[in-house]
Amino acid sequence: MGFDSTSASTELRSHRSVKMRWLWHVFAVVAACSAVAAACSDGGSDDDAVADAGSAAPVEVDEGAAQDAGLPDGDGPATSDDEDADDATHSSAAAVVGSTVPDAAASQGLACGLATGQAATGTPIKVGAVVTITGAADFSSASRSAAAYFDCVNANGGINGRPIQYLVEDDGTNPEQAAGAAARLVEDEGVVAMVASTSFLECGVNAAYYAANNVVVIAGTGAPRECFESANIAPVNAGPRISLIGAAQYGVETYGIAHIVCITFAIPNLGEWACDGIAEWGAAEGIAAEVVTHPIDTADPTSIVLEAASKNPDAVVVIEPLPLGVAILQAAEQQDLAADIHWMAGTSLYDAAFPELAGPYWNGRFDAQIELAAVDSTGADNLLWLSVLDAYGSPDQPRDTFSQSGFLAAKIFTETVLGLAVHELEDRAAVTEALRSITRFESDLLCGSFYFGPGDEHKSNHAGRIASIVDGAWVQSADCFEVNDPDLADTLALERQLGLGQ
Amino acid sequence: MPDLGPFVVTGLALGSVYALSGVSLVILYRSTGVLNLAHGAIGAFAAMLAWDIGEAGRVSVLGVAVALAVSVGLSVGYGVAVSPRLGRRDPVVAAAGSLALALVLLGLISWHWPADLRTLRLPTDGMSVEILSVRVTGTRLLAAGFATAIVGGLGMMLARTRLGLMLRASAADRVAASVLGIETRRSDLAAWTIGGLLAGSSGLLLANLVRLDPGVLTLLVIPAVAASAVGLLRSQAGAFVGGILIGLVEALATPFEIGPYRAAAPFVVAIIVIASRRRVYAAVRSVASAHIQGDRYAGPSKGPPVLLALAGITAVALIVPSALDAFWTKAYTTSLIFAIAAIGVSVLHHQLGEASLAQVALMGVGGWIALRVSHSADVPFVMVVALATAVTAAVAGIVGLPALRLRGLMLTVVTLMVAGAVQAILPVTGFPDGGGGVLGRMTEGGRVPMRRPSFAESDPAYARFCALILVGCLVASLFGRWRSFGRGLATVSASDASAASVGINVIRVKTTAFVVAGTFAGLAGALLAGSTRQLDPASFRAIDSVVLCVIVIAAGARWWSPIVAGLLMKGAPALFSELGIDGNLTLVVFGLLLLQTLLFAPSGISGQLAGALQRLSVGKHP
Repeated sequence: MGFDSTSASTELRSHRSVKMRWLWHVFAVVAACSAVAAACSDGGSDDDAVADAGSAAPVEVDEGAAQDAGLPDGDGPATSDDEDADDATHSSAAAVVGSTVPDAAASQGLACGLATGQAATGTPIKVGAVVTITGAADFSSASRSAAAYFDCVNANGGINGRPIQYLVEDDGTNPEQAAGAAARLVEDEGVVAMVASTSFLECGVNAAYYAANNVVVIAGTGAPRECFESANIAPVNAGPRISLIGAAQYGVETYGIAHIVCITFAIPNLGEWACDGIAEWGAAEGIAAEVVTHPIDTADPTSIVLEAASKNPDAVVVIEPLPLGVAILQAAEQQDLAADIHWMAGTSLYDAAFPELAGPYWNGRFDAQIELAAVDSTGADNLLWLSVLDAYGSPDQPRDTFSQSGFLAAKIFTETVLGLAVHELEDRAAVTEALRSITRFESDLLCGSFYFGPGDEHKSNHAGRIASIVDGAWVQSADCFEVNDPDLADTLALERQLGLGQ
Repeated sequence: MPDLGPFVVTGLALGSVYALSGVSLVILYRSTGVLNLAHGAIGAFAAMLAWDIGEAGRVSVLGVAVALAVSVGLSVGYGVAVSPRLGRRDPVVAAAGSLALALVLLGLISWHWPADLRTLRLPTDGMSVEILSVRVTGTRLLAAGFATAIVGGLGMMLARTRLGLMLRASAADRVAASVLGIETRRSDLAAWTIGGLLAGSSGLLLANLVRLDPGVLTLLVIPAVAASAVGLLRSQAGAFVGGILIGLVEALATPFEIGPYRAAAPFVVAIIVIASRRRVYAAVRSVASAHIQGDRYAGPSKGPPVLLALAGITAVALIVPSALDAFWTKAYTTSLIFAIAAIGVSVLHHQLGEASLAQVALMGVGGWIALRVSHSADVPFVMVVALATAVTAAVAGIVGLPALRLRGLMLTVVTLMVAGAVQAILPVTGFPDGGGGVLGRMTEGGRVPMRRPSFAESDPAYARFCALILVGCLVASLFGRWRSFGRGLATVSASDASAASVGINVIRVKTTAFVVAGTFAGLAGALLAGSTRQLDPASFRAIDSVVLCVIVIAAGARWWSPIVAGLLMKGAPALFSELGIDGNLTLVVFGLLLLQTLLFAPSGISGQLAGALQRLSVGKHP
């Protein structure tokens, strides 16, 4: 493009003073790094949300409680403003706290772990999670609620006096990074188990690695097929396939549909796996079922809904990431396709903001199967989840199904390892064995009960509820019912044989 | 035969989205000489600002004003402070600089506005007209109208007015323009202001029409490049037609068997159009002749220093894994593998003078073949790698065919189209993981891990294995520079005609260069499959290919520069993660690092390193 006068003079100047130029580079890099470091320290994320030994502090303590506990105002190490709770997450890693703060938690009477109200002070037990935080999506809601629950446990006697140190790694939606994250946690940090992992790709990438290293994963929200069909991974949720079939079943029961179209994105072990479930279920139940797949990066939702509508179905079921889900519903609204067709979805679209963003058109016209309890349900565990987030989480963190799943995974882990002797807590094999031996864990967040079970399939969650959009908000419209995924035959036979679950 | 009527309408609607961005890219390219890869990122920033200022996702007048003002500010800031300093290097470097800006912006946006469900509603959403029983909203009509207005208004401005002449003159040749009395600073200001306005306003429209997702909006620039490539980057009418054509092909593919693959449509259309247009060669000739040799490989050195350095690198590379923990062993292995791929990019860029934006995509091809072969036949690992490498080299040869007619930025754009197509296809096919059928995918149970060679079963052993292969590749690349092949490349990079006049078979030299680059990509892809024992499409996005190319340019032209490139590409992110830096800010740091290198280090990072070493050994500044 030729020289311009500016750059030419820059070059001349730099020839005269090589030393100056070198200094300038160093300065530029240092400035950039320090800017980043500064930005990190006051914004920060919670990828290293560590609730460790000395810092058994809750991530957040309200000012009043801290004062009750005798802490000078503003002097509490992990005290923070409500608006800036992320800060507190970071400082919790560094702060050293006496036994005063947990009194605040005890005064709130949360039944976390041993519920002693005494901070755990022993050697920490390391627990890990690999979570998609940056890249294609942010699923940190799961690990943040697990971190809040572990903080609560640590403030209440820990695991027989020993606190949990929770190490969360971001996989950046990149397979190599996901593998590196697992290696860091399993080999370098020596975690005893993985809890509340929630990722687009981690299950597929690391399943064989976890099996080879005898590490068990109590996953938060599993999505790809490999999360449910690997030896060492057991998610607490049901997954997109079961969720979608549940929605379709509801459509048959409630609306009497006989012809259904499943819309999803073309990724084999995720979207296509889920819609294949609809096709297999349709074949087994005598319901005509067709599948419409589209590229994940599509900029054209209108063609998708027109393609689905051209098959003249009674109902459409949708399994999509949230933003694309909204785009597809908006396209359907523009073409007025909900006038004659029932629209339903899996849990991925059950988000508090969804009804408002989708718009009033969908009032009374949209149902979603939900894999865990409704977020506003009044069961004991659901209320405990909300209270733990209020006390140990941050006000801006989502109260969604991901969050419930992280909480539930953390609770399952905690209550299981509480049964181990103190010396066994160091021993990964003992922890793995204990988690594998879970045969029935009851919670009102689930319809059935959680178990780990033998073999390569771990699908303890195969019943769910239905939520519908009513007056711009989600309302639970059907209580627990079993999902008839033909693929569950082996799982159900095993349950009967071994007396697992219910 | 399905009823295609509705898809014609949706195709036109989708086409207006591509046309809008494509035409904007062409206008900016014609007036600044920069293929602005930050176009989508600036638009995403504008859209997020407008969303933040508006209420409940509804855009206010204030929101639009602030959004447009900020996009103009960003665009002009970059265009005045950064871009002219890159202008003296080739157009690929200028595009690379804008990519660095895109990374910085995307990182800052994702960091400030964490992923959440958002929509941007415009007042025009409520209106609609019905065409062939498809309802088309007012916003879509507005987008189509806006694109048409740009083609008409701004195109006319560029072609007919004095300002347009000034812009085109300084974009084509800044020195000549300033000699003729054009104030290049003023024309920069005008051009980048227009660019900012276009980026901001199309960002607002696309956030509504596509979705309010910064990542999606930023990367929408890649299909937009496809639209502008149909206009050969120089004709806004061509880009408009290209956008519409691409949208039509993509939408019309919906009801057919190939439907899931339709995201590849923009790239396939662009490649076919470019390959079939006779004007292409002439159109890009001026760009190619503007290549400045500044950061090319300076000349081969032989003898003891190189041998000594090779021995040193080998020793260090073999010892390092003993000192690393599990996390760093993996990061180290991946860095070495990307260094091998970087050699291929370096041969093309520093020796032939072309930039390939498809290298990581070709790694995906190599990895796919390696997994398919490994899972279906009991052949030794080395054979698997050799086969994958050979097939990828052949594929690269085919990709390089347009190289026989193209040079410079247009050729680079073709490689980007290949990367885009691979990105669209791989998620649908997936990678073989031990199952049957052509695609070799499991339908139940977990993935079967790929076998590694028996002598490199553990991670540290595999890292050493990769280190040895990397050293072998470096030796091969040195031989390539020393022998007649290197001289052939150097001559062709200067001029096809002069190379032909001294008896060099230009076609053979160019094809060989692409095959060589493909060989390194295939080898790297196969080794990556062995490293993680499986692959996932998320590793081989078009943006990764672009980043690798930018890093290779930034790393410099020395024979050991690819090592620096590999370490930067995969080691730096690992370091940031080790330091606990937010994954989004990693993008920002990465972008800033690239910018500083492009701006301040004409001989690349390896030049800076070599200079520092030299000063250390001499003990004083030269």
